[in-house]
Amino acid sequence: MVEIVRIGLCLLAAHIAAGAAFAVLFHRRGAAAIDPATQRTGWGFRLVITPGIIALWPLLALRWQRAASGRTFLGEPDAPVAPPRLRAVHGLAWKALAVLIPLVLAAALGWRPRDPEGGPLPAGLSASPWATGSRRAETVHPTTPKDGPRPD
Amino acid sequence: MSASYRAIDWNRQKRLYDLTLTSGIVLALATFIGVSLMVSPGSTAETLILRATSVTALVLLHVVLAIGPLARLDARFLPLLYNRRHLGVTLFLLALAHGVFAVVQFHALGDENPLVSVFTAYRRDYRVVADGQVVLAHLPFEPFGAAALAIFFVMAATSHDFWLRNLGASFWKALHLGVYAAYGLVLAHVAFGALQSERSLVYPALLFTGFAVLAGLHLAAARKAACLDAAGNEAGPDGFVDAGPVDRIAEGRAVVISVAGARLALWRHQGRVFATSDVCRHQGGPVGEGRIIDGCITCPWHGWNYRPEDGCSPPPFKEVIETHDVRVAEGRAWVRPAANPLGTRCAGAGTGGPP
Repeated sequence: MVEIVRIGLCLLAAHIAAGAAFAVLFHRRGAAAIDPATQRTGWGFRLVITPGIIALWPLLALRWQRAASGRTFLGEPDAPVAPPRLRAVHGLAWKALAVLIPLVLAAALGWRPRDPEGGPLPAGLSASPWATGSRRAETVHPTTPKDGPRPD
Repeated sequence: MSASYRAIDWNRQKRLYDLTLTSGIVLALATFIGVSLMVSPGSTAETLILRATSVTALVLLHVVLAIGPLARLDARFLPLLYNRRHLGVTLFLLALAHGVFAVVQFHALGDENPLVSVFTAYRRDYRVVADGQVVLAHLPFEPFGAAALAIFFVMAATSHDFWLRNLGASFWKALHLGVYAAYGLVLAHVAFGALQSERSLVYPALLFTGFAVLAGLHLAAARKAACLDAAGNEAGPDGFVDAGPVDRIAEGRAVVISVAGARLALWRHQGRVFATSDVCRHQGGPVGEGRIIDGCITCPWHGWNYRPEDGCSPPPFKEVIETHDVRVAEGRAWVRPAANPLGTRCAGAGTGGPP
């Protein structure tokens, strides 16, 4: 589990680093190539769109590459929205929430500890930081292996 | 879109909107911290900031989600919709502050990378239940919050019109429908996190009430829209559809009708009737719920303008909505459902009344 999370975070860091490099290039050349309205814009505009460029750079890279060959990606820039389709997705989202949220709340209430004062923890096990206010003391416990001990 | 972008195009409404928003946030944070200090004088600054930002963000999320249906149900709420993106960005900043303080408070200074700890810490905390059995202390609620924060970030980062244009309106709207997934994730984060250590039933009841109110508002708005679509008119042999009495269209306003699933807005302007699409080119807003100001149809969502006679935005703007042929006979308006080619100028039809 820990390794999977570490790999995921490394991939995220690589994505952000690549996005930052792409953002520099995009501001110099790409923005004007895909959207003439970005010409004569100031630093404020560039600053505002930069986080999105870093996050969504693969989409912009594809759009830029397609624009260079006269094609489009994700449709025409000025294509209108389709309200009936959006309304359908909207309705679907609320139907899903109407089922899931009561289930989540019921599960959370069911899981809630009824007797939190059950007794002291065995040596080597850490308590919830919600009970102690901080994880600091627990995570540096010398007897706690990295993946944490499992109760018998 | 216009010929160029600006970072934020400030005007009086936006200043007023943001001033109100900032005042509301400061008031909410101060109230929460003040009440918390009265109830628990020993609370640390980190804990107060953590909880104040989370509660304020949760309330703001409910406000954001309520604005859409409220505006559809009652036009008096439309001004709230005007600058909703600033609400969203503020919500993200509050959620980010909560996330940063949570990582520092609960995951930093340990023997594990704090970000790795966010996703794996639940496996390391235990509690003893009544019969002496040792169980995991809590469910992995942090990943739900992290996922919601990621969605809020993408929405805030793409809130500028540059993204609307360059991702395409449909994709952009679909991306921003992610707010519903984020809402579900936030509720799971709260339910499996904070609610586990709170004994009172008031908190889950408040959470469920918030959800029920939002669900009710969205259901009511959907029913209103369904009623409009269900009253769809059939085209006559000449291809025109009866849109009802001209008298029900107020000067400078429109009535919206549904024809074969498409919504058309019939406008009354200077003694003539015009028909356009009801869909704004900006974000698909209902232009028919707007007004004609200075000779231009003005979308109620963000103020985009179109001339009623040809559907074109005034220069330097380039957007165009469809126009439809109209005629008036015996006090009733008739409209042709087939749209004219974009930019076609229509003379409209005289109402027979004073211009």
